[in-house]
Amino acid sequence: MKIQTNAVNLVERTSAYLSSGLLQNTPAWYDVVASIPPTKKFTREPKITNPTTGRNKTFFKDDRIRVNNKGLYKTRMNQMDRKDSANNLYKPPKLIYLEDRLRSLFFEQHPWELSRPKILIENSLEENFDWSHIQQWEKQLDGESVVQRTLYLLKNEPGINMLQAYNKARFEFYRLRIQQDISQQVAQEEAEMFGSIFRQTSFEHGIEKEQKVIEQWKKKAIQETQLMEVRSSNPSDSWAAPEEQDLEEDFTEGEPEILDI
Amino acid sequence: MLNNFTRSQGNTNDNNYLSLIQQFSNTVTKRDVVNYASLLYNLNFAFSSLKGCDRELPKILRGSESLLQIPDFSQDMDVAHSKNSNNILSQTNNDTFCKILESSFGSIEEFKTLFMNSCSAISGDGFTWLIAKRNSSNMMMESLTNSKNNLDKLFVLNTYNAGSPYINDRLEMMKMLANKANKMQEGKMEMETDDVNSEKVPIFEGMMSVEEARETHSVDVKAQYVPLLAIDGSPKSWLMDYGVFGKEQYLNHVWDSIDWYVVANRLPKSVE
Amino acid sequence: MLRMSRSIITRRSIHTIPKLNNITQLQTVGIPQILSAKGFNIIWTQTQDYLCKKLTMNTMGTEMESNYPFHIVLKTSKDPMMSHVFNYASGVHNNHLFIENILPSATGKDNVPSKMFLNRVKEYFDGKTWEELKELMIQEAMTRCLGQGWLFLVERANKRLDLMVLQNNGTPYYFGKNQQLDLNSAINLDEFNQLHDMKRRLKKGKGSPVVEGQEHDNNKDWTVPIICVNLWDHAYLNDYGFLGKKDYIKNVLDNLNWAVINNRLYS
Repeated sequence: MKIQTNAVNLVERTSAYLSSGLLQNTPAWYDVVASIPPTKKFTREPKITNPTTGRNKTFFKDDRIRVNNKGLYKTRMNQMDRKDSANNLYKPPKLIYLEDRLRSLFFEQHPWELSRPKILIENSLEENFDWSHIQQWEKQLDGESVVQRTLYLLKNEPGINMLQAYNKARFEFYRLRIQQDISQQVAQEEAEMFGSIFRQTSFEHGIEKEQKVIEQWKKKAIQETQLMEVRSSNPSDSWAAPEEQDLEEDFTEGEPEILDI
Repeated sequence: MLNNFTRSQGNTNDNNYLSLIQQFSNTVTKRDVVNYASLLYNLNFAFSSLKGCDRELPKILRGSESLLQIPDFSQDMDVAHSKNSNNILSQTNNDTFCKILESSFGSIEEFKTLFMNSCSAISGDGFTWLIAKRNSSNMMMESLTNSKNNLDKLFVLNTYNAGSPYINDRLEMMKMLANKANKMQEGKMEMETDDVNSEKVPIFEGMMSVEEARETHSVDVKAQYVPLLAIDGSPKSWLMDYGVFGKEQYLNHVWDSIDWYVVANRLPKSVE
Repeated sequence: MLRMSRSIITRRSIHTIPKLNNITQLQTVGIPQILSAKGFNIIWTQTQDYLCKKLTMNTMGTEMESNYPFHIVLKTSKDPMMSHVFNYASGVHNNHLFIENILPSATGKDNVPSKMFLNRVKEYFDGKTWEELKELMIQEAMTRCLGQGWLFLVERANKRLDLMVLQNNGTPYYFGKNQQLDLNSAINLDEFNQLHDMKRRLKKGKGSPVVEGQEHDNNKDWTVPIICVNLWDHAYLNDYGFLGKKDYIKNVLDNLNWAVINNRLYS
């Protein structure tokens, strides 16, 4: 089958149309596609070295030194082994970064850090921060700060190992979080002491509603207890029954009210 | 030394201020007197627990980059921990004080973090206090018989402007005012009975609002609070010497100047 | 070209000191009759920088990161958990208002209050002249602001002029965060009622409105600042000392930039 190249030659054809006057206006996508042209190579090339490890993938795994589950040594590759390694030549290798491992460790240890709201719109493009301090003007303090700071410490502090660097960054992070939390609380208290009025938070709203229901229930409960006391002191069935009915009616009447709230 | 404070300080005895504060704390007409008495008392108190330190005042004031740094007072936690506790212990010779600090806040380092951060977070005028809770007289009888109940906690408290750690019945004052306001409104209502639209809204409703509940439970009115240590966080005390960005540096110097012997001796006996 | 636009996009999210026209001159000589060069640098170059940086640090990465301080003030004013952000945003905004209305006037000659302003003062302050009102403003600021704060002459929605003394970093724009009271000391019945009124307004939309005839929309507050005086220590401590607050307020009120203030007044 002939390889379809028409789609790939889009820019060339459009240029030709433009110069011949077939097209009057330059399309909006023209510059963008021209600067990043589509690839014209359709042959798959084997990827021989893994960029993460730098190892050559074409070497067979040497399993001969290992004993298999039957207690025997493997002396040569079987067909399956050879097939797999040939397949792997065309697969893009897995990239493993240290950052990823730090990230997953941090968020495993601090799951609630994930619950902090994070804005996804990127207003700033620059990401070249100076990690000699964990706080940045253009970035809020979060797990990523810890990761980047750890990497910085690993690179720039002589004789520091991975765990030490991570712990150092982590403790800096804790200190700043403590500072943030306390300043938040103090500011709130201070504002209240100077006569600020705030909208009810949803918690307060909920508690207030709940309290109303509880108070209603308390009234009913007291009433019911009194009735029970009376009944137990006077165990005559003949007039305990209607009372009970009344009470139930009371309750069914009360319930929609509660639900309303 | 720390600060050459130019504010004039009277020779009046501290006790005089205190009695003024307690007597008139809820009286509006005496508000100015109470405010200044309270400010003077707070300031005197804060200075009485300082003895100075050998650190020098900064020659070059800090710039905005310092905001990116970790606050000084919580750097090197491991080193600081042993240093601080040893420091306090050696100065006071008072094991009980260290123990009660640790039992109230977890560790001396945690206390320091809470205390210093509370002070640095004050945006306007204010003091940060270390206070001890002492049970009142009728509770004392109980506690005498049951010695384990004696040990009470220390707290960190912020007061703003001329607030005083001795005034803890703010809620009482609010209630009193609310009653007054209710009465006033009832009176008004009777006057304007023809006004159909006027709806009778009791200002102080029977149910406690969340805010009131929080205040009632956060402060035990029966108990007495004894201040042990105070730090002035107002800009007046640090602005001129340390600059706009220097509050944390100032606090750090203050921490090194605290006379822990004085502080520990203020611990009420019933607590020990 | 691309790099240029990039840096603009990046800068947008960082709060920086607003640019003043003759900043180098101000930094070397200060504001005549009000602030020395050092005093000006403390209140503007440093304090404004401090507030901007703190605001940036506290809003970065949140939905408020590309808002102006004014919008942050309004957005955070109702949420108790955002008080710290509010403080910085309100401080930035108020301080800008303050510096604007004390900048040395460019024209010099006609730096006088407009006729309309004087008439309005007379109308809403029991026939007081501007000179008398100044006395009143000084007195109010001295008695009602014990610590840090702001003195404002504001215009209500119905064009009434009013004095406001705000504690710490209160804002004139929204009644719930005016911070006019100091609950650290005793308050009187009127102040208690004021506080309670605000609470009820916020909760049910009832209570007496700031402006008569606006009962239907009580949660909105259309107050606009006209004159702003900074009562923080940062503004006067260096030039006037601990006891010089009164002289400082008087100097500010005597040397206002009327071109700015006359413009702020609704006409």
